[in-house]
Amino acid sequence: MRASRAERIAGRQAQSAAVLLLGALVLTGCGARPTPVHEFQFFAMGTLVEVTLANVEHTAAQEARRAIEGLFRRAEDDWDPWRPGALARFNRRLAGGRPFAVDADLLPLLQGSSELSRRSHGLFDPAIGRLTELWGFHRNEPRGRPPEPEAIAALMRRPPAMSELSWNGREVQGTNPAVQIDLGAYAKGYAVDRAIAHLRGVGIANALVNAGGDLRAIGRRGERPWRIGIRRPHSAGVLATLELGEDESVLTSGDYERFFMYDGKRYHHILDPRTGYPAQGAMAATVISRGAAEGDAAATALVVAGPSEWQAVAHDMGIAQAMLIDGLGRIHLTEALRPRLRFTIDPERGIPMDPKP
Amino acid sequence: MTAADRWVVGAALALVASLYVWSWGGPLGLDTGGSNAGGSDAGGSDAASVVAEVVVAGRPGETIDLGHDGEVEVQGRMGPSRLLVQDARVRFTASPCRGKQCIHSGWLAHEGDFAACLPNGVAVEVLGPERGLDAINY
Repeated sequence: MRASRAERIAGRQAQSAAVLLLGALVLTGCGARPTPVHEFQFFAMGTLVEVTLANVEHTAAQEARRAIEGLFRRAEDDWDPWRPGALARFNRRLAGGRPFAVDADLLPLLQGSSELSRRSHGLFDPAIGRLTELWGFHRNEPRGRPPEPEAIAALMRRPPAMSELSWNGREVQGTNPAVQIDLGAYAKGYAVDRAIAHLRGVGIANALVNAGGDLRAIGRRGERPWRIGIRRPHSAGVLATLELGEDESVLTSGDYERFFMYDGKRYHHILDPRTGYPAQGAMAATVISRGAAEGDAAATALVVAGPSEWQAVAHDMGIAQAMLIDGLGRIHLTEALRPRLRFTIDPERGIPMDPKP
Repeated sequence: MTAADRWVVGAALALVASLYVWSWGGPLGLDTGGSNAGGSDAGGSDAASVVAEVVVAGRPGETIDLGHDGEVEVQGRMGPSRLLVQDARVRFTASPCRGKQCIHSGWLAHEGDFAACLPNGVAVEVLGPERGLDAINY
């Protein structure tokens, strides 16, 4: 009787232990299961757009894919002045010189970029559409030789600037015929922001949207933060890596993204609105910001600002985390960004300069 | 311990084994290679399972194994782009674009290395053995 009672207790203990063990295993089993991640890519806005969604059901991911691709396709036509769309119509009417009402869709882009232009001391300025065209940087394939200096001088006689748009509510009037809008340094970031806003709106909280290197991430990739590599200028490799917070954008502008060589000299696409020529003094700037549109504008402004002015411009644009790589390959960092980057090279020594372009 | 207890413990152990395989096994084979975050400056690649992802406009991305030397031809928007795989690296060798920036990008060997022929709508990115980076900013 006593023996059988002891046996029963031992049996019950063994059973409890087994149940606990099973429970623990099932829990750890679920915890260790790889996060369901959906990735999709498409070409739009002249670049490769990659979207990664974590912890999302298959159907929701498919719906998000359709919506985001649609969003980028519309942006591609409407925000590119060299395609038949809203911005091309805007530029035509602007050239007419009479006041006109701006499309509701285009209005926030123009107003947002005007404000950023003002804060950048005019170093980011979307009013330089004619200059972009003159240099041939509006095409996928640049024209291969610089324009005649006289042509640049003629355009710069009265430098085009966003401040020369005269606003009256939703109505705008051009006051300088040299002004044509090119949102190339802003629209991709803006589209990324719109994509993130859409994902949030449909309840997707963990996502990464990367439009040709212009990227914004929200949430996490399952059990870990999103990890980003910053490309090394003039090379295919990675310069540094960092982990992103819950909602951050990483934007880089570089002289290696679009350029041509002529007579042994490199001409890149980041034009200085003060001179009409490619910016001198910096090869790349990287900015960490909340929104991708503001980061896009800021990265461009910092390349134009160069090593002497970049910190003042970053400050005035509200950017605390930024990196500038100057024309000699030296790396300059704000104090807020320094501890976050893990470099693959010694940042004190800078980028080894390649004698080849 | 009764026969039933033994059965429960046995089932638990079997579950351990199956959960292990379910969680850690599978095609990723996470137990080899170790991490490769960022890629060091030293040349060469020792990992056997390095792959590159090739994306062509309008089609889902495809991976190519950099462990096997050879040539790959992909049809882009303008025509064929050729990729050469050699010594665990990959590069563009031909593309119908004018600027040839894809070819100037040279060899891609480390995780995150990326080159694209945007006019032709062809992009190549090296993925790590355990893909540590989610995106490359440039």
